[in-house]
Amino acid sequence: MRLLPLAALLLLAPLSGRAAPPEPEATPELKARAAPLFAELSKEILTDRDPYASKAFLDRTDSHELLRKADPQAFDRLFEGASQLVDLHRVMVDHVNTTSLREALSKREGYPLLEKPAELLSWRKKYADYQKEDTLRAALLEWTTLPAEVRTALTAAGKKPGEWAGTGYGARSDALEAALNPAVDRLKGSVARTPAEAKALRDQAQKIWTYLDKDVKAALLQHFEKTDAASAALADAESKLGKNPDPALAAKLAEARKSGDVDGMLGKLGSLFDGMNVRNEAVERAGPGRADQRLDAAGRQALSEMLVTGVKREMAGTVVGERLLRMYAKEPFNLVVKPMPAGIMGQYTAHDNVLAVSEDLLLRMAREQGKSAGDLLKGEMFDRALKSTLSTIVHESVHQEQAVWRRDHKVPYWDVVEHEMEAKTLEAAFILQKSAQDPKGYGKFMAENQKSSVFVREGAALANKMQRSPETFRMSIQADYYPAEVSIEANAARAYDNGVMTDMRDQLRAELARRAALPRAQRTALDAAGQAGLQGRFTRDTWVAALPGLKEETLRTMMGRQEQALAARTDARAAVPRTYAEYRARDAETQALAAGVLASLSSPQPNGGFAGGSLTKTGFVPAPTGGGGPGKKK
Amino acid sequence: MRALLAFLLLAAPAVQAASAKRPVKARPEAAMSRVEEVSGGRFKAAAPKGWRVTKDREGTGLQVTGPAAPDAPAPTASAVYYAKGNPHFKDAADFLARQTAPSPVPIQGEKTGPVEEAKLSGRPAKSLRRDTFAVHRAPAAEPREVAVREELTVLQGKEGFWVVTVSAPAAAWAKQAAAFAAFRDGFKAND
Repeated sequence: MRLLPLAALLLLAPLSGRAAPPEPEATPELKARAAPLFAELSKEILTDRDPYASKAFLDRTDSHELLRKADPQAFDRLFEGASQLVDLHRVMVDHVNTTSLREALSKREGYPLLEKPAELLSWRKKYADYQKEDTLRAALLEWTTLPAEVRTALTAAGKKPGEWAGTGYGARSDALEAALNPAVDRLKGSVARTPAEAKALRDQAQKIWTYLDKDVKAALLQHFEKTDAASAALADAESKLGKNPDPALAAKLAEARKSGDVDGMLGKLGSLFDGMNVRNEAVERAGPGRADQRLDAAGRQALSEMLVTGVKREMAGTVVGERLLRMYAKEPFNLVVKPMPAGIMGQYTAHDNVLAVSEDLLLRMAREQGKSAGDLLKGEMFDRALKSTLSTIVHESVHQEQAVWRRDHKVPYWDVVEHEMEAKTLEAAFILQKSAQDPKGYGKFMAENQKSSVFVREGAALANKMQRSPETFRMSIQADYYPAEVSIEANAARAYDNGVMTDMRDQLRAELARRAALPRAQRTALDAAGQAGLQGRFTRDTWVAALPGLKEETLRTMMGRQEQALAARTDARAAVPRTYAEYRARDAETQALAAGVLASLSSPQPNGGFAGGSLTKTGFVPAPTGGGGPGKKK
Repeated sequence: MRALLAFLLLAAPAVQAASAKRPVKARPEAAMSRVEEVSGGRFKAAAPKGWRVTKDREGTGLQVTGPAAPDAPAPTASAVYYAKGNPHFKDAADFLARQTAPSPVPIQGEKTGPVEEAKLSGRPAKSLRRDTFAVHRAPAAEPREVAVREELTVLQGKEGFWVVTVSAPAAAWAKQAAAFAAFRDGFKAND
């Protein structure tokens, strides 16, 4: 799915990009010194697209200043091209199966090589022939690699094999998504009344599965969990009611069976099982739960506030916690408890500066203990809720700190895997030190609740892995948790890519030119009927299609902002090397901090406890001031 | 001209030069896909065919990840080099001591076997087997606990030391034995 951040680019965000101070004029002597270097590098990087020469160029930072002074634009082109080639080469090394490779390529739309699949296939042969050609062809969505169901959907959407060959990867992805949307919508709106029907739905999805976006897959999996649960529960209820059921219960069963949407069906089934005084765990898990097992707005608010107070108390005295508390002394701690998709424990979103914890996780914990939602706000159950979510909140707080750091250091947002490594590392360091300092409280909870809570189990595994071999741990975070996330180097490459914004400016310009050529009466009529703005998210094609429906003044405003944004982004290119260095320095500081925490965990005491690494003994590197990325999910 | 430019632009420092080397191509019939040179030449290791390779940027190590069953973590094999003066361990003996020391967060049900004699890169080494637990997160599904077995082999060098770790769900351990043995056998330490 290729969505344009339109709101940020065009309509909402004030343009804050500062223009870089003008470069002093390069002397003729400087230009003459740089000219042969430029010629050679241009051939190797821009013409030959040699990733090895590119890597050498990126690593030789001592030459950058000379080249940048001699010709900033030419230097930018080289740096961008080299970063992309090194990144693409690494992608070919790291991703050996089609799905993983496609996911990696989808994060790199805009790379010129991806827009010419035939050239990328030739490049593979020359520089990355250990990557199988068939795997790359399938990842690039070459027509002949697509299954019949997908080709049929594309053909129905007007796509032809001939034109497909000349279509870039980004446009292929968009076309595929649009062609598969009707099938996805049908699946999302489906219900299953028997386990066989539920299986048939999964089988249908399987035929197009590999071509679906990660978010679409997640939504479908959630839906299928519900259809599985509902269909199994219908059969269970039927069997338990027997041949001569209570008429009222039989009516409830019939009502559930008739439901046209799966959430409604689960709700009715929940009520039916309550009426039967029987527990059905699948319905409890997938359905909305009984009224007293749900939190209302006031309950969520109260629990969130209690968690903020409790988390701050628990953070105190640990190296990681104290660093976060220094941030929270100046920054808001907007913690909310809210429903989240299955498997997600917490999330920090930079656009609204909110740190969320999974309500479902907490409610399930209460249900498993036979408690109500209200019990989460009291005594022992609140203590369990606090301790089981503590390390998740630390992890997400690190992402907030990363956002603050970007703001304070005036560096742009780069979605780097190193930020996830940092959050996991500091989470593990926190668990270790907190357990060592508080063996009878947090340590005991973490040690004794692993069999009843998979989240506690995961925290314990994470902490031990880091303590036992920090280098193996760091590598495994990327390999096991975030294989598709990209490095600081890949982000450096992206920072140069203005393709999407330039394309949008050109589309706006074309629409304004089209209007200018219309008769006056037609222009007035168009303007009177036009919308004053755009709402929602768009693919490139749906955004272009929406432009003729806007008022001319809106188009002009968008055009002006787009040009300013482009200019600011172009100016910001000069800052890429500094941004790169800042991100690398932060990463190094985190590693030093974690090493300090580990070193402070002294050997076990004679009584079996741990000294726990006091702050004064820990020689950690001072914290960077600051906090995460939009939509960080744990 | 080309030679002059290379001198001007690409001459030492040499640390990065190793990572810019073209990968050594495997023979077509080789059981492993290709040889990775890691950590400034401190070791070489080869990934089993079809396994994904992750190298850390600093060149301290690599992990190879095999195909995963839908409901369990993928098998992995990794090799790391702890250089002399690293902030974590004095030497291989120190590393091994931490493996068997009590943890502030003990893993319930975990069993660590004795340290045994082993060979790595043709040299005497120590190994240790552990039956532990991991949490598997399939996309959009509830995370679940999985029993995992891991085996560490530790080799002391002249200055630093190497750690080779193989890991797989306990239920799939036997199936991965050949790939793990090949990874260990293909590991070449370089002092």
